[in-house]
Amino acid sequence: MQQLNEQLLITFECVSAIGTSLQLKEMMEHFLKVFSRKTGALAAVYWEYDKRSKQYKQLCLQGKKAYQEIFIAPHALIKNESIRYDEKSGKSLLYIKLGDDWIVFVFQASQSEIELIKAIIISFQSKLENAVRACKNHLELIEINQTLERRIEEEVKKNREKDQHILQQSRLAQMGEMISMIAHQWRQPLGSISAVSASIKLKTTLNRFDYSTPEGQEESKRFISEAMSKIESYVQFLTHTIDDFRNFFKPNKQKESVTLTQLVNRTLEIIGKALEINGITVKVETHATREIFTYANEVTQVILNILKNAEDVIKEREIHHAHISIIIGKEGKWQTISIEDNAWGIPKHILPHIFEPYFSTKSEKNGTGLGLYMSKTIIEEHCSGEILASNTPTGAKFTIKLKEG
Amino acid sequence: MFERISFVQRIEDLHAKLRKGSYLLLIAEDTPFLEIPKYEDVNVCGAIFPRVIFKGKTYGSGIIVAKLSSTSSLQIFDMDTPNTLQPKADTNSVLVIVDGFSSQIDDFLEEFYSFLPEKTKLIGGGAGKTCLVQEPILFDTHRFYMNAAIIVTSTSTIGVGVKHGWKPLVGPFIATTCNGNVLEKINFKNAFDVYKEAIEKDSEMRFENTPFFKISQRYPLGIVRYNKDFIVREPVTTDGENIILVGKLDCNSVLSILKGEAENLLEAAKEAAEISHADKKDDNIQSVFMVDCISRYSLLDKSFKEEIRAISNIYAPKTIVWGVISLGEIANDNQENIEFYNNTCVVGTL
Repeated sequence: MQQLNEQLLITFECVSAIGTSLQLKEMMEHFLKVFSRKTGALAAVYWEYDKRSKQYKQLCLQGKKAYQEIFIAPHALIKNESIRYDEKSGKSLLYIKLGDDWIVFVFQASQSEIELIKAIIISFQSKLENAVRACKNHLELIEINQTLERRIEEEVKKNREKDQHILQQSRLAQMGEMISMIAHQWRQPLGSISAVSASIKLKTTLNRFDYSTPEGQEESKRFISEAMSKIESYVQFLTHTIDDFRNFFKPNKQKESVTLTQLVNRTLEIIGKALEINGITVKVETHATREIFTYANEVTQVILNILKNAEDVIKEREIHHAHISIIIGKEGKWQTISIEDNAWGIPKHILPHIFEPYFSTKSEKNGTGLGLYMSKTIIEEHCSGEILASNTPTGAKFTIKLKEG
Repeated sequence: MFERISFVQRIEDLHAKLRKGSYLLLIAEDTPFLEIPKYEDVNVCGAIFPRVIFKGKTYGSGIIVAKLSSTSSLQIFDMDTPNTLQPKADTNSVLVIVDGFSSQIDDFLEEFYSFLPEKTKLIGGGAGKTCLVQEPILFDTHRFYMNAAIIVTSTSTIGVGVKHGWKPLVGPFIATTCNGNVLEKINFKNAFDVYKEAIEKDSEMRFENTPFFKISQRYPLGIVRYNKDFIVREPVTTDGENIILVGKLDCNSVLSILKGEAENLLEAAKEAAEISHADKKDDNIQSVFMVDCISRYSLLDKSFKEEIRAISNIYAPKTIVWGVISLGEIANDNQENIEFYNNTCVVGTL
């Protein structure tokens, strides 16, 4: 009766030592220590089966390391719950199988004593097996999570690289557009310079000035002076245009206080001439004049992109009496810029996709499909605003919303 | 293990005993001294204990001077790094003295023990003072140490006997919450409430008017083992809810509250000596080293000399019985895992 009582108490204590950790090594070290202490085992070892190498490796050893040589790796001839007497050392070994793994205890005790101890561990063998499985599942889960984390990191890296690529493409596309706009801007002053120089050349070739008289000399001087002033002013204009474009392209990560009207005007200074040449009338209405604090260059880039798109579609659809209306307004805490054209709008099936990257309705040569995607990124992610597109009865309408303050 | 054991009353008398060689000094806590004088070619390590035992008597003041034999060596180790000690394969016996108030005793002993050769036997105890405050009580000629251990290793064989004589009064209980050496809950109730109730049922002593230590030394706790004697754990103090023990206790340990009668304790000491004597394979017995708990000493009081006599009687008349009254005892009995005992009598036949 006393023995049964002790057996029960020890069983309780050993069962309580199971599952104290989800780390297999830590859990088994604790269990082997408690079980050995309670039952008088001289040493104990946990053999873990490695499925890859198909070999057993010692996960932990409890007790004197000097007993190490008694422990030989489990093999096919060893039976679960068997007791083997080691003649060389005079010790007995108790083998308990847990799934694919084994626990081996060393005792200096009689066969009958070890049988009673065996009965203790057998009573909770399945619980121990479950705890071992839980540890292994936990480890597997950690490994899966780590793999997932690694894959997510890889994908994020890929996405970043893609974004960089998109940005690069977008810059190249913008450069192309800019060059085209510069060409528009310069065509007229260059033409004028050419006209002035041609008239100087013509007048000198045809000897239109009578240099023999003081009047003739005076007239020639005045003519040359006027012509040079004109050329100078045209050159000034060209320089001014270049500065505008250069400022526009300068990576300016500083926010600044600016009114939306100023932003629209800056944009029109760049693209206005091109619109005018293409016969597009631009009307600007201002209903909000308070300054907002934002990334001015980036917003200008967005306005420019929308205007350029409008210009392209107007040209493509050969719209007569083309006009673009820009309305600067206010909606609660937002200030808005609405840009509306009369080019018959965006087809219904296309409208939901226009802000997606690489989506373009323009021919391959002209569109990268990145302009509106970059615009959305700039307004929503950098400037914490919104950009919306819709159709009006006569055309398309883009609205940029930026927070006041 | 030791070549010669002698005793001096004062630190000033040491010079007469110290000649070329290594010495272990066991100093009783009331011995006045500030440092150990340095002597040429003399290597000294030692520790302070509540009392020392020499030739059948205990001393509150005095020094046991044990000269190591040529086949023995001694060193002081930091308890944080037990793995720095790699005993030689021919080490047959080890005497270990630990800082009795260190919280690292169990981990240190377990780690240290794992490095010992298979047949090595071990004996020892916890050093410290009865003020129950941790102080640097281990020393060599350079300085004093805390959280340290003195290890004497030898090729000589020794016999070891461990017995306590405590009987279960009430139990079993489950130590449902433990934290190191703090027993917080027994059977899910405040440990002190359970302990108090059990003892006040058995005794007329009351915790309200008796110091806790006076009662707890009569009623230690026993950790149940299968088919083996209890491991005794002594409660030293309480905060009214938890009980603080000398030595660590694992959570969910099965416990009994023990009670000791003087005659059982004396009988246990005799049995420990008999086991130890029988365990010494050769007949070349040089001395008998005993490690006995301060609580047993306090409990047995005047009868303690009977305990020493009971041990001495097992051996030949002129065999020197020496040792310490300690704070925790250490031994490996029957080659099992090492244990840090309380309230136990450990006898080593050297």
